[in-house]
Amino acid sequence: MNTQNSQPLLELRDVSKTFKLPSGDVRALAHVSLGIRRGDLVALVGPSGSGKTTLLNVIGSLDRPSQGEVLLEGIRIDTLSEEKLVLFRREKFSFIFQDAKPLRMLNVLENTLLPFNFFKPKNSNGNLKDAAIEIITSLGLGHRIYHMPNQLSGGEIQRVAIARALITRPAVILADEPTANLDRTNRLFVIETFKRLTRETGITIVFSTHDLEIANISDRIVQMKDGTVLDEEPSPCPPCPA
Amino acid sequence: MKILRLAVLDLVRRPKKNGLLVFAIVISVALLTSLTIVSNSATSSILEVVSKTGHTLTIRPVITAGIDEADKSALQNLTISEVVFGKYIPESAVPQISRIYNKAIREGWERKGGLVSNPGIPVISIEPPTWAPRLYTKAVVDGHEAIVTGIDVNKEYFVRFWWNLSSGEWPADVDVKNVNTRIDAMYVMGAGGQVTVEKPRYRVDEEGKAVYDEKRRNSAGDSDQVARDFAYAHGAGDENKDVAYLGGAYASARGLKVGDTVTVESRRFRIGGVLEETNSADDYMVFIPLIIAQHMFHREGYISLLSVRAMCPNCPVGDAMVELNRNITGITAVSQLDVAGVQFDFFNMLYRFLLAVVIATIAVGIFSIFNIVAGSLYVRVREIGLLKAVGASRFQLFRIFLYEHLIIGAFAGIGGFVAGVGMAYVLNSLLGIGSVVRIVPSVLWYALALGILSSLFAIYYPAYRLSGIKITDTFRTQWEV
Repeated sequence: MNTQNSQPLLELRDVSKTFKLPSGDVRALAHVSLGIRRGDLVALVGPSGSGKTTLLNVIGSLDRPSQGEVLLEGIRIDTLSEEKLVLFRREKFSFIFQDAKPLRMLNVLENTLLPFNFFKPKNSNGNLKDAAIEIITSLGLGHRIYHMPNQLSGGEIQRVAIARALITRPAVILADEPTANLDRTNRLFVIETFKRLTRETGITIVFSTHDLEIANISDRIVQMKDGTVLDEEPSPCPPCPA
Repeated sequence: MKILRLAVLDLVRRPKKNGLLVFAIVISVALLTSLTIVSNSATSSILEVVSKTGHTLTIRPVITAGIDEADKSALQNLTISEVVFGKYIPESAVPQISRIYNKAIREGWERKGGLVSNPGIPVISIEPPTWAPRLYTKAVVDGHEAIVTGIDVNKEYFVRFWWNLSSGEWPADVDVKNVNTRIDAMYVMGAGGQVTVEKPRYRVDEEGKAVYDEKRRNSAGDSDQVARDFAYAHGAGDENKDVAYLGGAYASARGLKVGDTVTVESRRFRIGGVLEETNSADDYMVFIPLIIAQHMFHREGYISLLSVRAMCPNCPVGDAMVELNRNITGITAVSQLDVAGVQFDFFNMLYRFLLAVVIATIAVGIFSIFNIVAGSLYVRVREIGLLKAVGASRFQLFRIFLYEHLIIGAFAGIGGFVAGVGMAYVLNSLLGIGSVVRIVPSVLWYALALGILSSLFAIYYPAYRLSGIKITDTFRTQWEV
């Protein structure tokens, strides 16, 4: 566990989320309270339907809680307007989705730089292209920089998603099942990369997974069931061997 | 620029779907473009005819009621447009025609409140009208049957002022520079444009042929020129005057050119000029001097057609037409303005009908385009989610769709214009309008606007809806395509 900063970067206070469906209300989160510190690598584990994705969405302000408060760096974000949330997300969050493939018409480098088609980087000093190449190379894709997505394997595609998440230097990366479709080697590579990033850059990464082997490599494991946090514990083997 | 680039790249990677969309819009644009071009062309052609002949009245014999009873052995009756064979107007009727015409014009003007002479106030004078007679015959020219038309070149050139020579020259006495000032006539103008015929120059002999009557010449005060013309027509005149002018299509078909000779029946004519084609019956005619034609075909004192070109602005030629038809039996007066009006009304009706069909087609087309667009957008839901997740705002996403469809619309507009021009040529020939297809540059802008608007209309709602979708919904919802 990273203990550089004891103040929580992210804080959820008694958060509940209910989806109103024609068949009736579905409570996806129930009275979740959670604090996550800067530089933490947090694994959300639990069976399907336990609320992992919903919790990630609420943390990343992609969904608003039905009840409770969500704070990032002490600022309540669940009440911000949609316009402000767009700006806030650009600044603070990056997302990695299980099914979100890179844009087919852009190569690896262009996909990495995709966010800057929509906003300017926080610190425009230095060459963005060089920074992107550095990130891509650090993820083992140095030989794929100008390759198109259809020339990449599943593991490489997920690394492109990580590169794209890193280029904006966010405070938090939220990853929903980032290793779901990968083989063991690639799963381990992704999670080790996450771990290295939290150590080297201080980025906080929260990811969901069914895979306990992967979860055990993280700093903290948050066990979920039926929308509630069952147990919150540090990983059994920090730092786990690669 | 970055968003525009994304839009362009996205277009390029979906060539089939976008091609289908462009094609759908092209059809709509092409339909409207072709109809507009055909309509413009036909309207221009009609207006051109009106501007050429709007003030011209043509007077020809009625087909069913012959006034040329002397001509029992005439060529078979046949009418092609204004061309009538076998029926004639005696020149002796011309003064009466002129009198009625002038009276109708004058009264028409008075009703309009114009040109009434007030003491001391100069008024615009009505120039005397120009009367151009024609004699139509079918004759053997160089061994082939052809339409031989006797004309007075000076008068004909004046009435048909759109005539141009593609080669050759007009006779020296045709004032090509200031033709409108030429009023001297075969028919002598009296005061106020009244026409009198120096009659009777001819009499009909026992065999039914017209012969020149010397006694009558003197008593009627015929000029020496008339006598000279008569002598010349009978072959004793200046052979340099045996000059023929050929319609463009006739000359082209027979391979004749200026300087060649043609033999009409047994008399040879030097070709003095070839007319540019005018898309009229004139293109197929051989024109020879009227006086020779009258002599050669034994029609002295008769004409087939009398064209009158009014010489005042907005002359009430319609009034003259009505009065002539009412008061003189055996002739039909036709105002070209009325003919054009009938054509215009017919074409307007046809245009409105086709426009309704095209608008209905476009409405169906735009609905199809809407479906294609909606389908192509909904399969991009996850991509939209990704773009929003990396920081694209709703407006930025909307701009991507907007740019894409501006480009599609522009391509479709240009493609539709090109296809529409092609369709216009086909439509023009199918409808038999016979006008020259005129492509007005502004139609390109209309086509471009229609293409872009169709494309934007089709994209607006799906783009508005999808750009506002929540990121979480893009990854969890099954979208119907």
